[in-house]
Amino acid sequence: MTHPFRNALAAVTLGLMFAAPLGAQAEQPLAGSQVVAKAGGDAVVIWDATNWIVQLEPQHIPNPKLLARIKSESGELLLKKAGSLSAAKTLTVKVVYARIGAISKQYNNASFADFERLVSLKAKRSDALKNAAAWGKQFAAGKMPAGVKVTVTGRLPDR
Amino acid sequence: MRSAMRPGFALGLLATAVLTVAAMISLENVAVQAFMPHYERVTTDFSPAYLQRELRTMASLPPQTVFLGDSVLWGYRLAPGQTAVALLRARGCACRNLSFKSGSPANDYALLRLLESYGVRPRKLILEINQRVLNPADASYKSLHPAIAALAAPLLTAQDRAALDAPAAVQNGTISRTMDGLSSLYAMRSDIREHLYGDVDAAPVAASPVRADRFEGTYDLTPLSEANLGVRYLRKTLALARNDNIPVVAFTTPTNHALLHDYIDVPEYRANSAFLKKLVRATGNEVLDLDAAFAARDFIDNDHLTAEGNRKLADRLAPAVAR
Amino acid sequence: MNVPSYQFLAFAAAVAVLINLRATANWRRAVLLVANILFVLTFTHEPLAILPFAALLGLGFVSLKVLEIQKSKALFVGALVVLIAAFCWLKRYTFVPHELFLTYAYLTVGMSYVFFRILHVVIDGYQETLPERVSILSYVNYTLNFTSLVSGPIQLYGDYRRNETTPAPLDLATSARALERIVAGFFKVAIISPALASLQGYFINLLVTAGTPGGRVGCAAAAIFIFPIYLYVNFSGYMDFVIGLARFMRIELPENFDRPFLALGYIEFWGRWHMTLSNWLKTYVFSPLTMGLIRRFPSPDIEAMLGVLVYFVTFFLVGLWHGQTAMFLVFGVLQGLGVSFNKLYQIFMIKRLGRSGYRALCARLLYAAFSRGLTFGWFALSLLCFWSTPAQLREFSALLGTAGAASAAALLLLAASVLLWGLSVLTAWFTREAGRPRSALHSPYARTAWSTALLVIAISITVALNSPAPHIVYRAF
Repeated sequence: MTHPFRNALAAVTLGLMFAAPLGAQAEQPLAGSQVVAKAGGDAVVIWDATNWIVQLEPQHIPNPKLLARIKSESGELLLKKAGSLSAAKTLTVKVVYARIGAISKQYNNASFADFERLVSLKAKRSDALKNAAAWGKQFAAGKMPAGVKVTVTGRLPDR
Repeated sequence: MRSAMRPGFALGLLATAVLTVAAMISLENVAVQAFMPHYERVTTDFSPAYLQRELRTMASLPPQTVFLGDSVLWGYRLAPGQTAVALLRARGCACRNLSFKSGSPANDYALLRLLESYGVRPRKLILEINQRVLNPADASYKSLHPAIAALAAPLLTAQDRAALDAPAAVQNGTISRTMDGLSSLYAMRSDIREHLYGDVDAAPVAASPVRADRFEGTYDLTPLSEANLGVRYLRKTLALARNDNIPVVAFTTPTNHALLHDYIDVPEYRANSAFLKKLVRATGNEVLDLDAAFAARDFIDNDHLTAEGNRKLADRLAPAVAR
Repeated sequence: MNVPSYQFLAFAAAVAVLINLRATANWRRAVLLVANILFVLTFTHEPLAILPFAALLGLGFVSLKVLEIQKSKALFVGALVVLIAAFCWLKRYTFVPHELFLTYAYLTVGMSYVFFRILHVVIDGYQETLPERVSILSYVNYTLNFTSLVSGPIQLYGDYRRNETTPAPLDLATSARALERIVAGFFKVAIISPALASLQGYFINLLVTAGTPGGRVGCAAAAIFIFPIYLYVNFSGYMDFVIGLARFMRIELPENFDRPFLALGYIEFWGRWHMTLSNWLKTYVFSPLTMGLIRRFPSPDIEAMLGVLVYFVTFFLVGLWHGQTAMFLVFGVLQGLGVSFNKLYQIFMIKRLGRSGYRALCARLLYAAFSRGLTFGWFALSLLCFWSTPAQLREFSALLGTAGAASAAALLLLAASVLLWGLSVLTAWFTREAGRPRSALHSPYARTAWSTALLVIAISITVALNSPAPHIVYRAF
C-alpha cells in the first residue's frame, strides 16, 4: 500500500471517528416525551423535558444557560411539528418537567410532586413553515425569532 | 418454676417456643388461605401472593371470561359492587376482573403470560383499549405493576425487561422475601390493609367542576405506529391470545367527548382509534367502538364512569360476553 | 414515643440491660435518670414545650423543701392551692378563663399522674410520713419514672424508694412471669383492644341504619356494653405491659385492676378499677374529709350519711379528673351518685337484715348476678360521657325514643348479669386450677407455648397491618 493511500485511509477513518458522534447527535431523538395534546386550530405540543434535564445534569450547566438551551430545543420541536400538524393555525410548545417529591419507601422510586410549567413558545404555523430555515439557524444560535412568543412561567430546579 | 435453669430444661423451653412459632405461622397460613376472601377486584397495591392465589384459584375453576384493563374497568371512585364487571357477575356471568388502576397493554401482556403459565385458559378475554395509556407521557405507558413484574419476571424476554420499567419494592430485601415466603399474612398485607382500611380510590370524590384544560396532554395525537410501546404490546397480547385459542373482544374506552371536544374531536384522534380497531380486527377478533358512546353525564372526568355509566357499560358488554 | 410499642420495648430493654449491669443503687438511679429524661425528650425537643412541665415539677419540689423547713399550715394549704391551680391551668380546665392559657403547645403527657405523685410527696412530706427526706434525684426519678409516666399506675413514694435501695429480686421465675405479662399486655392493647373498638364502631353505625326498633335497641345495648370492656382491655393491657417491663428495671409497680367486673357493688367496683387512683383519692380526700366532718358533726346518727356525702365528693373528683369538659362533670356526678347510692343501699339493707343477713343475701346466685349486672350497667352508661358527644346522645335518643332507651338499658342489664355470672364461674374455675399443684397452668412448657402463641399473633397482625403503636385511652387524662 502506498503512503498517500494509507494517509488518505487514516484521514477518512479519523474523520469518521469524529463525524460519527456528531452524526449520531444530529439523529438522536429529543429526550422526554413530546405529546401532541391538541392537533387543530391552536395546536399544543407538550414536551416533558425531565429526562433531558437529568441527562445534562453531569455537565453542571448554570440554569440561565440551560433555559436558553431548552428554548432552542423547543424551537426546533416547534418547527418539526409545524410540518406534521396540517390543521393547526398556531402552534404552542409547552415545556414541563416533573418535580419529585419524597422517595417512595414501597417502590424505592422518587414520587411525583407536580409538573413545573417551565416555558412556552408560540408561533403561527404559516410563519414557522415560511421561515423554517432561518428560524432553525436562529434557534441553533440560541436566539428567538421575532415571530415566536416566548413565555417563561416557571423555573428550573435549584442545584 | 425452677429458679436454676438446667441446660436440658432451657433447651426444652426453647424448643417449645420454636415449635409454637412454627405451628402458629402454619395455622395462620392455613387460615389466610382458607378465609381470605376473593375480592371483586384487585386492590391498588395488590401483592404477588394475592395475584398468585387468584391465578391458582382461576386455574381450578371452569373457564371464565377475563377482563383486562385499567382504572376505568377497575371502577375508579366506585365501590367494588358498582363496576361493570361486578354487575355482569351479578347477572350470572362467570367473569373475573383483573383490571387495575395502572393497567396498560404491557401489563395486559404480562398478565396473559401469567395466566398461561398458571394453566388458566379464559373462555374469553375482554380487553379495554384506552388511548390515554398509549401516551408516552402517561405513567402507565411502560410501567409494570410491581406484583406483576415480580411474578412475570421469568416469563419476560430480555427485550421486554429492557423496554419496561418495574418499580423495585424496597421490601425485596432478604428478610422481607423470607417473611413473604413463610407467612401468607405478611405476603398479602397490602391487600388485607386495603380491604380493612379502604382503598383510597374507591372513595367517591367530592363534587368539583371538571375542566377540560386539566386534561391537556392526557391524549397524544401523534399518529400511532409500531414505534409506540403500547401498540407493540397490544399486538403481542392479541398474538398470544390467538396462539392459545382465546377469543378476544376488545372495546375502546368510553371517553368524554363533550368535555374534551377541543382536544380529541379531531381527525388525528379518530385516525388513532381506527388504527387500533384495525389492529384488533386483523387478528380475527371483535372490537366494540365505545369511544363516543356515552354522554357527559355518565362520566366523573375524562374517562372514568359513574355508577350509572358502569351500568350502561355492562349493558353494552353483555351481548359480547354472552356470545 | 408511644407506649406500648416496639420502640418503647427496645428502649426499655436497653435500660433494663444497663440497670442490671451493676448492682449499686447510685448506678441504677443514674441510669434511670438518663432514661427518664430521654423518654420525655422523645415527646418534644423544644425547651419551651418542656418548660411548663418542668416548672410544675420544680414547684412541687420547692413546696416540699419549704415545708420541710417551715412547718406551717398556712404554707401547706397555700402550696396545695398553688399546685392544684397550676395543674388546672396547665391542663386547660374549662372553668379557667381562656385568656389565661399559654398560647403555644407544650408537653402534658402524663401530667395528671405526675401531679398526683407531686401532691403525695408534698402532703406526706408535710405530715412527716415519708420514709426520709426526698433528694432531688429521687424526686425526679419518682415523678418521671418512664415506666409509669404516660398512664400510671400511681406508685407511692415509699414503695418507689424501697425499690431504689433494695431492688426487687429478678430471678428466673420472676423474669418469666414478667415476660408473660409483657406479652399478654401487648396482645390486649395491640389486638383485642382495637378489635373491640372496631366492633363498637360497627354497632354504632348499625344503630343509625337499623330498620327496626328491636334492631336499634340491640345495637345501642351492644355499643354501650362493649365500651367498658374495651376500656378495661386497653388500660389493663397497658398496665400488664409496664408492670412487666418495670420488673426488669427492679421496680415493682402497684396493680391497678383486680377483676373489676366481678364487683358486686359500685364501692367494690372502684376498689378493683384503677385502684391506685381510687386509693390515692381515698387517702387524700375521703379519709381527711370524713375525719373532718365527723369532728365537725360528731353525732353518730348522721355519721353514716356523712360517709355517703364524702363518697359522693370523692368519686365526683375521680370522675372529674378524667377530663376538662362539662361531660366529665356529668361523669363525675354519675360516679359520685353510683357510689353514694351503693352506700345508702348498704346502710338501709344492714339496718333491715343485719350484717350477716346482708352478707347471706349477697352470696345468693341470682342476687349476685343482678348486682354485678347493675354495677356494670351503671358504669357502662356513665361511660357514654367518654365516647359520645351531646349531639350524638340527642341523635341516639331520637332514634330510640324513651321506650327504646329503657329497653336498651334493660337488655344491657340482663346481658351483663348473665355474661358476668359466666365470667365469675370461669374465674372460680381458673382460681381452683391455679391452686392445684399439678395443674397445666403451672407447666412452664404450656405457659411458654401460650405466651409464644400470643406474641406470634400480636407481631404478625401488627406488622402485617403496619398499624401504628396502639392508642392508650387513658393517655389523654
